[in-house]
Order: sequence, then structure tokens, then C-alpha cells
Amino acid sequence: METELAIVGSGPAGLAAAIEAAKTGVKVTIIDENPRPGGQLFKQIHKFFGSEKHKAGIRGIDIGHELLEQCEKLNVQIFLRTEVWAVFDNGKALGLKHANNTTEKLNTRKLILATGAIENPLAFPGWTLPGVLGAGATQTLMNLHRVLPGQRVLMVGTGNVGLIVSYQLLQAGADVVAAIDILPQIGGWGVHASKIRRLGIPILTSHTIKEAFGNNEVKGAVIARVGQDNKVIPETERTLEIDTICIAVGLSPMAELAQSAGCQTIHIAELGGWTPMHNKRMETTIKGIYVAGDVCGVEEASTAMEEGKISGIAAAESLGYLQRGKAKELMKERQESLNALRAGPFATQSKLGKEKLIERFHKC
Amino acid sequence: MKRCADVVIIGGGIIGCTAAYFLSKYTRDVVLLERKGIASEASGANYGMIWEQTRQPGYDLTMARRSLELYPTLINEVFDTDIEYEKKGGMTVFFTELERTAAEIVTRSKQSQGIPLQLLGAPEVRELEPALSEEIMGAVYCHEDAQLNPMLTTIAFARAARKGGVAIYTDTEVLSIRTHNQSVQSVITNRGEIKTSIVLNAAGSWASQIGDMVGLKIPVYPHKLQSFVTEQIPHVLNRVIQGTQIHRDSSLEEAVQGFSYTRNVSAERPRIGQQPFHQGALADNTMLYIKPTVSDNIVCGTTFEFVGHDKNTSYESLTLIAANAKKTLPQLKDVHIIRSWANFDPWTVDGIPIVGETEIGGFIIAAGHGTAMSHGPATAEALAELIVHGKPIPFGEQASITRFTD
Repeated sequence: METELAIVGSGPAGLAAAIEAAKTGVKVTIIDENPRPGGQLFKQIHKFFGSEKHKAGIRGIDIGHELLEQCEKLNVQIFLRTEVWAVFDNGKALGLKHANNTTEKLNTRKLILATGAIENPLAFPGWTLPGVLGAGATQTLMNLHRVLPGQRVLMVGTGNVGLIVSYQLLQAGADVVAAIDILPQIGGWGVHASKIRRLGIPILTSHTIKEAFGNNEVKGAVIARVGQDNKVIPETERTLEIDTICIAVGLSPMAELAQSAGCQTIHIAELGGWTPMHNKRMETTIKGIYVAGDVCGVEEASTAMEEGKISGIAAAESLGYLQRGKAKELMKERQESLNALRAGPFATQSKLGKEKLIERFHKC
Repeated sequence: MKRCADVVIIGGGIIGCTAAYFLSKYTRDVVLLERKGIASEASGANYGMIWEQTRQPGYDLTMARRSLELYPTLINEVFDTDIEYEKKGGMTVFFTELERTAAEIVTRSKQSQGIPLQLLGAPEVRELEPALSEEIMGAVYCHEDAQLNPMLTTIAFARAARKGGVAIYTDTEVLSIRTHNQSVQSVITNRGEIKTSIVLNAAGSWASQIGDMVGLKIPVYPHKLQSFVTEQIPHVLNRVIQGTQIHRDSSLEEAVQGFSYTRNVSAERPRIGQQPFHQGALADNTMLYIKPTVSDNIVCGTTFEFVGHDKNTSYESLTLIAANAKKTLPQLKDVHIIRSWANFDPWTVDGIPIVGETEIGGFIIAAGHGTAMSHGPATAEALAELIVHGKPIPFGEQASITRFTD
């Protein structure tokens, strides 16, 4: 099979990249291992923040529908339940495994990796018991599959994901017993924190989980206060009767495909860990392989879409579908938009991380 | 970095690291130079088979046997880490009548050489390996064969060498070798010059590039193998399974060769400059290896190619390997591949490595091992005896570079 631009991942970054490239006439093929496209968008039933041109006030699920509709209009080909098991020839070919268990080679001229991120685990005694699950997985269960994982929940981690999922658990009828964080301050936005506080969920900072217990499933957990050294302060332990523990301790880029393709990676804590290096055009250290979205630094869906657009424009230009001047102008717009998104006080870290990443790219 | 040494070893693979360890018993003045990291080429990417059944009598079998003797002692007395060594026997499975006839001939002949081969029928194969395909007609089995984790083993030798006082410099590339009156004087690296009178070329598939530095043609060629490893699966396989290189339309003579692992070399003596033969279609150059690791990830290989040092994997190779592996172990059908890679087996025209002294004084070669994990400890022991006591290498004439020129 042949295409001009292969995109791995149909989340906000992948879809935005596809639309931007397909608009110029590029033949685009998206591959996603999931049964439906959209990445995490369709479980995001909350409204986005930020300015209007960044889709603020719109829910993730609606953005997903809008992007998919555009892809359909532009004849973007999407293979679902299809896995990419290897990248060959410096990104010029992919090994695919289709839903019917057949394999196929997809030859492509350009490649965008928009594989997203994976939830970080947290190890403590009892962490493998049924009932301990990622906050993102909880959100998928609730909002996509309409299954409530439990009735009494402990949320570990108070970043935006922890806070938003706590609120959605309440909306879905569960009881969130507490949201804890090992740091002395809440990780996420004040607006999310005050919303769940108003609804009576205690947020306990400087707290950690010591263990989960239960024979075949979670029956409870022991939490405790920590000192400045992050160690448990003796005799501050408390036992909570719960059946579910949600782990919301951050995400790491899913950079394996990029790594196996030979793209150079760098560890940047602000971006979530090992990240493929890229330049302002989102091109990696291998010419013709681009990255966009959480795979090159965990941020927001809004930034992922902007990065996706930039990678799509860059790929279209290098394929000859966009004049250099026009591409430059389009990319400048997107870059300004990205800068605006990263200007907020909560984006300082990722802005720093991205600057480091691009600086390192040009050094190597 | 040290400025002088008794011996400078070039190459941080299994041959270089075993040599460093054995030499460290006699002298504290050994330097090992490695362009990348320890075990970063073939020694970190092979199947870790310590097999007797595939060896040719003479040098090859002697080294393999001695290593099989040495490994348990090294594990008990020297290594401070587990190398996942397991002596579980090795099995070469076959599917056709032609292969069975060849297997009978090979088994009889190897038995007469003292290699304890057994010919197994289908029921005996499935008793040992119940998960193997019902299409398998039988197998050649050798209970002496063992397996290990090649990367851990190489690293264990490097640690033992370091403990013995060897200076190991990784990320250190040899740029040239200075000679005077046809004798080694010093080795020049990107981090400076080291004076020495003995250089051991253990650069594996890059041995000929090191040879060029002293004007010596070393006929070792990179033979590219591709492999992949699956996700962890429930325990279904106990030992390494190998296939044959016999095609349905092979003659019996070719089939026996395909089984006894002797190279298809013309009756003439191999010559320097004799290029690896062109092998034809990729599909005709596959050989099955299925290795269960201790964690029950399954490593599968391989195809053979002569493409220089091109390390890319290919869709064509990996799908061929997967098809072969699935035919032999049907349970691999729905298993995910988590990683794939290519490495270079150092190839010589007769399948025997090049080991020993050369016309350049102090320039010793130990390279061209397609079976370095199996030869490593014994080769290193023999090299230490040669370097320190001037003792000749057993069956040394079979491994000497002079076999290509005399």
C-alpha cells in the first residue's frame, strides 16, 4: 500500500495534522490501534479553557466530532484497530497489523508520529490489586464505556487530570473520599480544585498512599502525611474504606516508535520524560519523520492540535503541495497561537521544556 | 586515560571482554577500547546459544567444549551477576522426509566424532516441547547444549575484568595503529595514544577495518541477521529451537550440508579477497531460531544478508521470520512483537574464526566468530596462554590467518 503522508495516532494532534496536510492535496493515511478515532478527545466531556480561537468553551467530545467530520470531507483514510509494529527505512515504510490479523507494508513519503502519552504507574504495597487504576483509564471507562469502576474512590494526585476526573466521578454518582497529593500544594488549576472542594471532596496535600489492602480487590487504603523530605510522618496514618484507587501522577510520552525508528530522544522532566528531539517544524532528527502532541512533551489537547497543524504544514511543504512562502506564513500563525497557549502561568514548565528540546535539536 | 599498557584489546564484545578477564589473571596492565559501549553490537543482539551439536571437529569443537566446561565455574566463582545460563539441551527441528534422511546421516557422523546427538521422532519432540507444531517430523537433539543471556554474559566478563584491574574505555574509537619494523608500537584513539607492544583485534565484524590500520587484509565480513522479540507470554517453550537451511528441492548432499552446518565452500583453499557469495532470494536465506528468555519473551530470527554494515530491519525479513516462527510454534500466532533489530555475525568463508598471531609483530587477531558466545571463554583462555606463556593455541593452524595465504 502507498501513501504520501502516514500519521500514527488519531488523537487531536494526528487529526489536526491530517486536516492541515489534506487541505493542500496531500494523500493522508492515519493508523490507530483503537476501535475508534479521536484519542482521548471523546472522553473529555468538560469544556476547554483558554481563548476562543483555541476552542475554549467547547468540550473535547465536540472537538473530536468536528475534526473527524473534516477528515471525512478531505478523504483522509483512517485504519482503526490497526497496529504499527515497526518503522522501516527511516520512516519511509511501516509494518501494519490490521484488525483481521493480516500484516501489510505501508510505503509512505513522510511520517508523523502522534502517538500520545501513557499514564505513569505508582508502586506501593497492593498496587496490583483489582480496583487500582489510572485516572485516565477511569475516565475512559466512565465517559466512553459508561461503566463506573467503583463507589468509594481515593484519588492519588491533584493535577488537572486528578481534579477533573474526581469531579466527573461525582457527576457519575461515585463518592470521592479524598484527593491526595504528596506535594505541599495542589498541582492543577484553582478553578478545578475549588469546584470539587465546594462539592465536599477533601483535598489533602503533603499526603501519600502507604498501601492498598484487600484479598481479591481493593477494600481500603492507608494514607499518611509526609514531611518536607517526602517521608511518612509516623502516627499520621489513616485508614480509608474504599473500593477504588485512581492514580493521577502524570503522563509520559509514548516515544517507543520514534525511538525504534532511530529518532534521537532526550530526557526533559518538564515534558514528562524521554522525548524525541524536534525543531520548530516538528521534524525529528530523521528527515521526513515529524512528531506532534504528547509524544514530544505532555501538554494539553489545544497545544497538541497546534503542533499537529505545524507538522501537517511542514509535511505538505516538503511534499511540494505548499509554496515555501505560504507555508512560512501559515506556520508563523500556528507558532504565534502556540506561544499564546504557552504564555499562561500553568504552561511555564512546558514552555521551558520545549525551549530546551528545540535548543538541543539544533546542537546535535 | 592510560598512556601505556602490556596489551591493548580492541572491541568490547564477548571476545574482547573474555580476553580482558583471562589476561587480568596475569597482568594488571591491560586496556580494553570500545567504540560504543560493552556488548553494543553482536554480543548484545544474538541468541546466546552455547551449542555443541553444530560444531565442526577440530578447533571449532575443541573451543566449544572447553567453553561449556568453563561457564559453570565462571558462574560459581567469578560472576557477580546472573547470566541466565541454562543447560537444557538444543533441538534442531525438521518438517520433511529429505530433512529426516539428512538428519540420520548427520547424527551418525557426529556421533562418531563423539558429539552426543540423538535423533528424536515426533512423539519424543512433543514430550520435550509440547507446544511445537504437530507438523514437525522430528528433531536432532543434543543434551549438552546450553543457552545464556549474551548481553548479561558479556557485561559480567567486563565487570570481572575491571575487578582484575583492566582499564576499560568505552566511547573510545581506535583511529590508527602505529607500527615500526613490522611491529606494533602504539594505538591512537580519539582520546589519545597508548603505547603497547601487543594489540588484540577483537573487533568482530569490524576486524577487517582494524586490520587495514596495519596493512593486513582480514577476510571477515558482516553477515546481517534480523531478529525480533515478542511480548511476555505464558511459559510454552523450554529451550532454544533451531530450524534447518534445507529447501524442498535440495539434493541430499546439500541437505546434509545444511544440517551439519559446514559452509558451501569449493574444494579449493579459501583465499583472501574471496567475497561472500551472492545468496539469491531472501526467502532462501532464512534459518529459524526461537529462543525463550527467562522472562518468557520469545526471541525469533533470522534472515541472512550481505549488505555491509547496514543495520536497518526490513518488513520482508521480519514477516518471513514471523511466518517461520509461527509455523514451528503455532501459539505465536496472536502474540505481539515488541522490538526488532539487526546485528552482524562476523562471517568467514569456512565458518571458522581467525585467531592467533600474524605477520605483524604483536598484532593478534581473535575475530570472525559466528559463534562467539560459545567460543569466547575458551578462546580467551588460549589467547592468555599464548600472550603470557607463548603456548600455541590448540588446533591453531585451523584458525590461523595463514590458512588464507599459505
